[in-house]
Amino acid sequence: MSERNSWDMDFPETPESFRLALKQQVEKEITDDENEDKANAGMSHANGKVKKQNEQNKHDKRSRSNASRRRWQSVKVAAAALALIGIISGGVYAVTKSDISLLVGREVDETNAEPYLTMDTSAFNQTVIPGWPQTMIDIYGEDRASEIKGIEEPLLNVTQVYYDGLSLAFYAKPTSAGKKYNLDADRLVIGDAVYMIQFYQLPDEYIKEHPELGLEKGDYRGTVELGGREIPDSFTASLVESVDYIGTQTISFDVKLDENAVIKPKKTVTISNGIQASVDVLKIAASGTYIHVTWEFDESQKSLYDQFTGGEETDQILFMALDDNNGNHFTTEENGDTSQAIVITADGDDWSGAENSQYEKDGKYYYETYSIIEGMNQDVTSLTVTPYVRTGVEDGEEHTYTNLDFAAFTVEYGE
Amino acid sequence: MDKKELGEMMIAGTDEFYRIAKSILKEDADCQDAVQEAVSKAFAKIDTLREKKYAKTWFTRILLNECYGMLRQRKREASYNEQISREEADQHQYSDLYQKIMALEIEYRMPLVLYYLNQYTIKEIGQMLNLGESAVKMRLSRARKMMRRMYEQEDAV
Repeated sequence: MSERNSWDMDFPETPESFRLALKQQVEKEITDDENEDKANAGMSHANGKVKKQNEQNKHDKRSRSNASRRRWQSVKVAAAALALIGIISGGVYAVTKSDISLLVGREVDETNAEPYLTMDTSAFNQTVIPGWPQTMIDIYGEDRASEIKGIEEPLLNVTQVYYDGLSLAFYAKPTSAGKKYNLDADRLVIGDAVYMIQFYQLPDEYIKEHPELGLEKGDYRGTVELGGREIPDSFTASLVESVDYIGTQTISFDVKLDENAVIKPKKTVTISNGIQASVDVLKIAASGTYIHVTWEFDESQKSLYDQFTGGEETDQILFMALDDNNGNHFTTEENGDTSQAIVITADGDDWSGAENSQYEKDGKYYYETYSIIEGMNQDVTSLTVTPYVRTGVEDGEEHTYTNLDFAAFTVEYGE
Repeated sequence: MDKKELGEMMIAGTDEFYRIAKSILKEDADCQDAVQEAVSKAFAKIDTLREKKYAKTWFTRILLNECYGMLRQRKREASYNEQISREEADQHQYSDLYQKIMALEIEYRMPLVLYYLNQYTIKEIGQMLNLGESAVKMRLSRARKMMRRMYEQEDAV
């Protein structure tokens, strides 16, 4: 696209200072590690104290050199001076439904969300272990795990957990030890899978503007979408928490799905033209609905399959219109901003998110699509799925819509 | 991927990383801070990067988090926008294009920069921003319309 090239000329040019800063930091990281390796090799006969001192020096050196460019971190250091009040116990705060929307990060059904929120910290059975959890070791290997330095002292206490079968969200409060550091986490382990999550320290404004949440300066929030995975109703979630140059620890807490959660069984139907369609997953939760649909075409239906994929037409997007027995109408087109978490398992990484996939297998053609539908919170007894495609999006042209009625179908769930 | 390869990837991608940082943080000093932090974190976390092919996407996510983190720390999360004043535009001789990009909401700005300037694919942008591909396409489409509208309004004056 020619537009792409012309933009290059008009964007601010990379300043030499930025180029140098990045290069120096890279060189420093590599040099520090090489020095450490050499030091460790040379001192292999010495006792553990020497190695420990090297690590401490390395940390001190990095801390000093980083200090000038971490101006903003002074805020966090100041926060460490604040006293830690006790862990929030159940029932202390009157949590409103809109508070749950804040926790989850999008609109949650106000009438049905509360059973999925747990504030009784004793229910979490929180445990802390230094280093990685076993699943991470299984995936990344013993060698890498052995390089991870563990942190013994607990850094965080989980204070509120929301899980409705689709969204898992939690608040956590740093301990006095945790307040000394900028805590970092982007992985949550459940069973044999590692999920990349959103985890960050809450801005001061958020805490000030919502005193009803019972949060304090320095508290953290984590969120992840789990709709697309088969997860038991009760499980242990393990947050892999790391502190730069200090180490890693795993904070585990129990999560239980409320019995009101609506998880529908897989339904497969044969459409009149012989196409097989199935709603593989339908989870209806207070924070929305997760739906996964697969269409299966045989060789004689290849031309119909091509209408799904758009062939070489790269700017075609397939969406689903969903009509339920309650008279509600939703489309996946209006719900494209929330995607599934990236999942890592021993079998491989899945970075696909909530996306359509198309593939050929054993002489058949498959088209899978999945989506999170915000605002779809009501249980259904029947659901009609109508796929449609939209073109013209890439060039900002007027959109063209085409219904793929030949692949529309209805699934019945009964009362 | 070893540390040397990671370092090479970072240095080779300097321009891309600057554009990303500069799309969120207007001050060059902040961009430098963010990229240095991101480099430090990436080296510290290299154990968790399994496949070389994801290295750039992975590092971009770390850099984006650093940039957003800096915005949050400076109490500007509410808008996620760093406005450029006329004086700043004149002082830095910012192009018209850059000023217009920075006038967009960040949710539209980032896909635009990653697609047009850094030449990432829709799929890669989705991975970086944790969005579905259709969401990226929609945001790109809307961002283009907003940009076009800004130019049209300017022409009309």
